[in-house]
Amino acid sequence: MDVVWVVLLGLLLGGYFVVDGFDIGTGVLLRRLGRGEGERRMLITAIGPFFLGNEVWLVAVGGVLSGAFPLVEDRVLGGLYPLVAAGLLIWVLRDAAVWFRSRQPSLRWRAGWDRLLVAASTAFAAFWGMVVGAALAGLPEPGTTAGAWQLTGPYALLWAAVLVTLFAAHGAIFLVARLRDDMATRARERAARLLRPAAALLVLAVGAGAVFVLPREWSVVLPVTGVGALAAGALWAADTAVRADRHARALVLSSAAVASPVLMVLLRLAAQLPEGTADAETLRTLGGLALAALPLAAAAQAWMWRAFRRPVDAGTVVFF
Amino acid sequence: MDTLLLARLQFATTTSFHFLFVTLSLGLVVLVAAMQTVYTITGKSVYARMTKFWGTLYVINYALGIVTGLVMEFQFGMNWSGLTQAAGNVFGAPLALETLVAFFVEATFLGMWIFGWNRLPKWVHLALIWLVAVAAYVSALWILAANAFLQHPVGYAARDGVVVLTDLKALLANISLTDAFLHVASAAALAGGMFLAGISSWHLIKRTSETEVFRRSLRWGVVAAPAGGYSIIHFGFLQEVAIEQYQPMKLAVMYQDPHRLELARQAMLQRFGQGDFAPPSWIAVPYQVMMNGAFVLTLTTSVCLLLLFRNWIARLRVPLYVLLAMAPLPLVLVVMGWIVREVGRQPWAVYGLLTTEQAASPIPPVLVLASYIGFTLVLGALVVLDYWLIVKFARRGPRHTPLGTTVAEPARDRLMAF
Ligand code: HDD
Ligand code: HEM
Ligand code: HEM
Repeated sequence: MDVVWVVLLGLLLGGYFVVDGFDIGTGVLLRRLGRGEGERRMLITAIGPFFLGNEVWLVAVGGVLSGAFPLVEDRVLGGLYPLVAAGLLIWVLRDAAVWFRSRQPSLRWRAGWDRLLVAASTAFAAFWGMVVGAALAGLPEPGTTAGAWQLTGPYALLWAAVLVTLFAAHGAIFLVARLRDDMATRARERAARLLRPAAALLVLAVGAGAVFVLPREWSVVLPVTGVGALAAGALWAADTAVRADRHARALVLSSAAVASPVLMVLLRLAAQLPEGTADAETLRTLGGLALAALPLAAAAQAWMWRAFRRPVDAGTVVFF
Repeated sequence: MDTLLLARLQFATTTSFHFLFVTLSLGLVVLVAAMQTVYTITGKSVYARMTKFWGTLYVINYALGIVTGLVMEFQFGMNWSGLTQAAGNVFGAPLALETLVAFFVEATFLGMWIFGWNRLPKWVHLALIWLVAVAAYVSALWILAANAFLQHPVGYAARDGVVVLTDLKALLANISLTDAFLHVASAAALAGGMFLAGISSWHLIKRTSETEVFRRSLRWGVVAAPAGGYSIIHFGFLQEVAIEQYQPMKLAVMYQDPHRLELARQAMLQRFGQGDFAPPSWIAVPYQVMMNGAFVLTLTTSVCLLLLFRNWIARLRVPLYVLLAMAPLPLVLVVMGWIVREVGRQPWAVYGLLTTEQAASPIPPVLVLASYIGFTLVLGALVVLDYWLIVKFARRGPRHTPLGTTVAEPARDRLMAF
């Protein structure tokens, strides 16, 4: 039973990286890809219909943590306290920028929120990188908070660079699929420019982790570096696909790469996770209803992606 | 300042922010869905304008419901690790179900509703807003179930110092939940009704050209508000009956009645032994404010309901000013009610099982202080900004609402400036 919940947690967090990765990446690139207010609004409209449905994956991660992994929740949220608090604030600011930027016609108002959106999205990507870096170093003991070195040291910062680049590339590929003409071309060029550096950074981070950070146990080092190598390969292949104008394939590959850090963290912490679950009786009581709700949630999401699959054009509804 | 105090202040501040917005969301979503239903059936354009106008305000209000909710969800794990360690098994379950069963659907469908104007078939679009409404109430039910467990723990068994969840149904049949949920839902109806009535009054006072929209909206508001009001009073007093059973001390403090206080003190002595198990006596004040507020609002809106006859309400004009002035009152009362409920639970985090002191995380106070300042400043600024936008869009009227505009219409978008 525990395994089911670990898998669910991994799927939700990995899924979150993939889908909110579109929004984070678009936010990072907003002012580079969008020339002028009109184009920036198009970019935000490209993510618009999905925005709420994407970030709710992370809300679900929080729910599953508190319902099925109360002790892990403590060690993550308490152990990484300063990072988590900063990440929440950044998340709030990112959302505020999305919600408020188009609520006034003034160009200055919109440009101001756009700047905030770029800053907050970049910081949010970096935050996720630092969480991954800190978690790969191991969760702090219960009741303690990780030190500044673990949270903001070179390894965490290296991961921050990886995820900023990775989310940006992932977002750019998404935008190729959602936009037309000129803007799609620009997004494709941007993706092509980011994918190989992202692969290189990922290899560097995984390699540095294997040498300096991960515990010296084959059962940890092998799977983590294996996943890292596959992800770097996927990014390389995504680059080829983008250049060959096959963006559906590129999107699948970049999604796999974006989700890979979650898998690495789970593999690193595999030994600790089952200790942190709620007791079997609770999980049994909780399980039926929670698992029954999942197909419903999945169906809602599938419907959303289908209903708004057409690229943005003149008739698309705008809101954010 | 110690961690405990800071964690409590932090929680109280964010929940109060959160509740200001979600109460109105819960009230408005039903009204907006009902307007859209009438429009979809009758095809009358006045209802389309009403749906878009109130829908816009609903959505702007929703933004802060989300961002404050995001912070809250993670605050349990950050600041209240004692709670998760001792009772996380039970307390976390409804939170998990809330997110999986309700939020997922709510957020997904709200996005589709906002971006689906004129794109999705009419009836599908209507179904979406109703699904959002249902999901919102289901989520409120689960979160209140979590809170009711803190007030009156049920559905669990104690095994080696931790509690485990044994009965999900008992969690939902908690006597601390049923009346409270209906009380909260009624408060949402009152808040939504007063919001409609107050803003419509403003437009009628200003002699709007959109008379049709605002006369109808005023009617809807003046019907919803007293309906919510009577229901609030009913379930409020029913809650007292339940509280008398599971938290006699709280009720005695709420009424500051020396006789009851003495009885409660003896009951506490028997149940928990020596110690001070009384919540702070000042909760009597917010309690009185809430009750009297209910009487004033219910009475006033009932009179207004009668004045709908032959449109006396607008002809006399005074009622319009009164409704406008009272529109924000329900939101104040809602916070009062929560302060009574939550502070009245002290010194317990989980009543009879875990004290608040035991519930706090062993985090250094500086970290909690820093995060408290950060969250309060950022969320506080956003709260002010959001209310400013609500007022702005409320004054602008239904002529230009952002809902349903398309990429091709940026010029119109710009026209909205004045
Ligand atoms: C518009 C808002 C509003 C109004 C007019 C009232 N209430 Fe209320 N009240 C709430 C909004 C609220 C609330 C914010 O929604 C609370 C907080 C917790 C809850 O369940 O509802 C609440 C809590 C609450 C509690 C505390 C429950 C507890 O501690 O466990 C009681 C006993 C009452 N109410 C009773 C009343 C009575 C007797 C009222 C009128 C005569 C009344 N309320 C009007
Ligand atoms: C009785 C108390 C509460 C009620 C009735 C309530 C209700 C709601 C509602 C209706 C929403 C949708 C947003 C909106 O309509 O504005 C919402 C959002 C949210 N609430 Fe609460 N809430 C309560 C307390 C809490 C608590 C204690 C938490 C923390 C666990 C929480 C976490 C959240 C989160 C994370 C969201 C955002 C969900 C999203 O992204 O869609 N809420 N809440
Ligand atoms: C939305 C309206 C709510 C408001 C305004 C509110 C208010 C407060 C306040 C004032 C405190 C601090 C009490 C004190 O220690 O003096 C508090 C604490 C707390 N509340 Fe709430 N609350 C709300 C809803 C909820 C809900 C729905 C839950 C549960 C799901 C909840 C769980 C808690 C917890 C865990 C604490 C900390 C422990 C404690 O101090 O007892 N609250 N809340």
